[in-house]
Amino acid sequence: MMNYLRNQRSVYATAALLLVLACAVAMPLGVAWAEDAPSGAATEYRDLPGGSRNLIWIVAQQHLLLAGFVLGVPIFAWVCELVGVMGGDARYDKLAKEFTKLLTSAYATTALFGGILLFLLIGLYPKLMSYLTDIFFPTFVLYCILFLLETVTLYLYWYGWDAMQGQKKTLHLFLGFLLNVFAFFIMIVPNAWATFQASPVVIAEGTMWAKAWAATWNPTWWPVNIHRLIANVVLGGYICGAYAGIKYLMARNTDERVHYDWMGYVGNFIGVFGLLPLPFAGYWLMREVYQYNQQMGITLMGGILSWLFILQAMLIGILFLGSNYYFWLGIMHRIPGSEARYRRPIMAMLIILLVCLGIWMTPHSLVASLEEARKMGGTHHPLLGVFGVMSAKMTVANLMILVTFMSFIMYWRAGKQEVATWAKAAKVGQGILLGIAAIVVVVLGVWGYFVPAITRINYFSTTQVLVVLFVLLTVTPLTALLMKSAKTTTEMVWGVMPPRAGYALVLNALMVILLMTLMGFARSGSRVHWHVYGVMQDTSEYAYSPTLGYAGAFMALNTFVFCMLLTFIFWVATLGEKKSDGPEPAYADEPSAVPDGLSGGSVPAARQ
Amino acid sequence: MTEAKMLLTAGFVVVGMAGLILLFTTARFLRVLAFVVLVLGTFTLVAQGVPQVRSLPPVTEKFDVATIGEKKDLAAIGQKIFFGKGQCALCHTIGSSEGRCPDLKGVGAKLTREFIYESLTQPQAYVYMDYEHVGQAKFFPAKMPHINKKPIGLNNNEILAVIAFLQNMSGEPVTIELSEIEVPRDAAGVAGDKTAGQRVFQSACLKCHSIGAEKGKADLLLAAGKPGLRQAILSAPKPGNKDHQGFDRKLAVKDFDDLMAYLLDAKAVSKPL
Repeated sequence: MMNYLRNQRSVYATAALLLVLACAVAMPLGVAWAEDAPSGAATEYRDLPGGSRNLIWIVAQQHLLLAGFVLGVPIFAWVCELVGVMGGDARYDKLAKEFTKLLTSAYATTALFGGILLFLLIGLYPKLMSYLTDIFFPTFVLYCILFLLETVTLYLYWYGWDAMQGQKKTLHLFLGFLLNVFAFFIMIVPNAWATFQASPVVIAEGTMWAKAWAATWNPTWWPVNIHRLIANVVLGGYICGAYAGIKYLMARNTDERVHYDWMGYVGNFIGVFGLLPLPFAGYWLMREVYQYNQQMGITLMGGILSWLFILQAMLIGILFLGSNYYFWLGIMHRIPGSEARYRRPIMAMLIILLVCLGIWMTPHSLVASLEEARKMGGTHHPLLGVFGVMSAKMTVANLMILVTFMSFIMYWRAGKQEVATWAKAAKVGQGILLGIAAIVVVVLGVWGYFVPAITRINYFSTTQVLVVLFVLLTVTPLTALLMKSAKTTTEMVWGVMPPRAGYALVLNALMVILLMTLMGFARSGSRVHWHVYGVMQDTSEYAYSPTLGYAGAFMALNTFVFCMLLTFIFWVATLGEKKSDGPEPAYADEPSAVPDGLSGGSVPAARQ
Repeated sequence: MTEAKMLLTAGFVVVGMAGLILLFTTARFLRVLAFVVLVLGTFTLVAQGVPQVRSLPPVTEKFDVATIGEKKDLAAIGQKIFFGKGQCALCHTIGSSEGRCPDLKGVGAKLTREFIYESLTQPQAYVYMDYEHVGQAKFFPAKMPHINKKPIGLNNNEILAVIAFLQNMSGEPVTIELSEIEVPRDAAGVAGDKTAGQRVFQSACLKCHSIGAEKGKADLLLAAGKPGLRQAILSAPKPGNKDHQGFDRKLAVKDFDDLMAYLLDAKAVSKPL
């Protein structure tokens, strides 16, 4: 009863806070309307103190990040639930439930920001909204229906969790699957609106549905859909990791440390799992952008936004380093006696990653004074300039993926001994495959300097991507087969990671969120002074693109606000829990074997 | 204090405070919060370190025919368009090998004005055989955008000015005659706002008419600038056709002026050499 009352109080407190927030946003808007009431002529823009664009920037970014979270978490939760059912490990089911609990409050907050964004857009950009509504109205209806279906499914999925255990678990899993299907469609419908703005197509004559469909099926719609889908998995995984990292740092006893150490591991695992194919999806998106409009591609990669990609390289590089570092810490601390064995390969991988990051971050042209430029013979450094081109960057990006994949495989196999008769041959085969892939990537990268750009883009870069994907798709199942029969030689000890592991998890999540804000700015900035590229020009006073310094500060602000919102959501979701609750005291009832592919044996530190 | 300095100062203050909290506080949650702020503050500072360019919308080069006394004036305007609204310098260089697309040094001497015009307005019509291909040339999509269409959308006068610039900077005599430069519609007595006219077109005409040939629609470009167009709009084009009925009440005089301005502008952009 007390719990119920506490829950009720938290819900009311949340609702009151959200209402205050909505009023705070709506009040200045009301002032703006009063000031700019139209006098006969149709109003194209309205403004607010502080700038309408800035306000839209913040609200839209929060909505998108929250949306990424509420679409990523169901994927994360469902995968965990599935792993739990398949492997018979109750921890995964608990983890999935723990994160699904967040969805109800996160879902409401996302919808709230969506509502605020809609009102602001209608109020501040009426001309653009009218134009988009004329084209996309049928999809608005579809979007509402999808929201209803998603809400109903979410309620059934969450409230039916305990009721649908045992024989009804399959039904519950199906509901989770359905939840993700609706979530996917909820994501791709607004993607159509945003991608149409960036890559509009000629609208066919016909019914309103035909027009909406013609606009929806634009060149960048599917690349963005796939890119966002994978990115949401990455976001869900790394946020789970960060949550576990913070909880681990604040843990008051061994049981909590064991639980959150394991949770951090799973979060990082799923984050890396999504991160590895993400650059390929990004590459496809950029290819489509170039094919749609060469000028837009150049604006992004070689024009005013080119330095943005240096910042992107820095963030992705830190994310790769952070993820690998967490794997390496896991090998060193969770698997006793492995330090001496893995020190050298880890050092080698660290050096490769740092060299790759350095090359990826090398700009094509340097910021140099006239005097410096004269000495260099241009804005391109005679030596470093070689690394500033796409051929070098594509090569190192693929190498970083390969190295991270090796880290992941190394962690997977640590503390185990393969007993299959064909294990030796398989390991040699895997080594040869990885070696050949690395050589092919480097050779094509160097060769790329000597062929026309069109050959490099169409054949060489694509081959590099396919080779790395092939390695990922063959080595993973092969290792899974090997591990299935492997003998555990050293039990993995949970809860003994140093505090820096928790900070590494927080850092990874920050990098992912910053990357999302950065690339959101890139996509919006690529339209330059157009609301709808080449169709509807932005004639407002905010038609310019701000400097990267200004945008960077906004990205940091947006990331911070989002982190605070997430903290609030996590806090609200756990308000009803008893203080003495927390993880189960020990994993006494759990099976000793953890599902293949996710852990190399487990022993809580408490049982050592 | 400039915007950049303000952001830099704020970044340093935030990073410094976060660092102090991390050094002197043991409260775990506060330390995590300080770590988050430290990372974000550092990112803000790094973002201040890259080149800071504010991208402004292109300035439309005004064609004041009265100020064009000789051909070199036209070439001077073309130079501004080349490096401004036309965005040619985004890909092309003049006398350097660092561009993404062919260097244009001496192009005015190598190519005829007709060829340059075609390259600008129909980039796919003829792809230079030697460009990026050794051996037998293959078909591949031209990278060059249609310069007379959106998003760049140079009008006929602007394209001629760019050609004049290319010829002039190649040391060739400019073959564009000043008489080819069209007098802007405002000077010809057509008042109206083309942007507002576009809205009128979209709301009142788009159902049955198009700008340029389009299947099943009547091309209004053919009628643009013709005397009596306003009267033609006000009366039904075919007996029994009610589409135009009541237009005199639906559209104000200003709407008609705006529509005329829009149609003339569209015609100017689409006009071939």
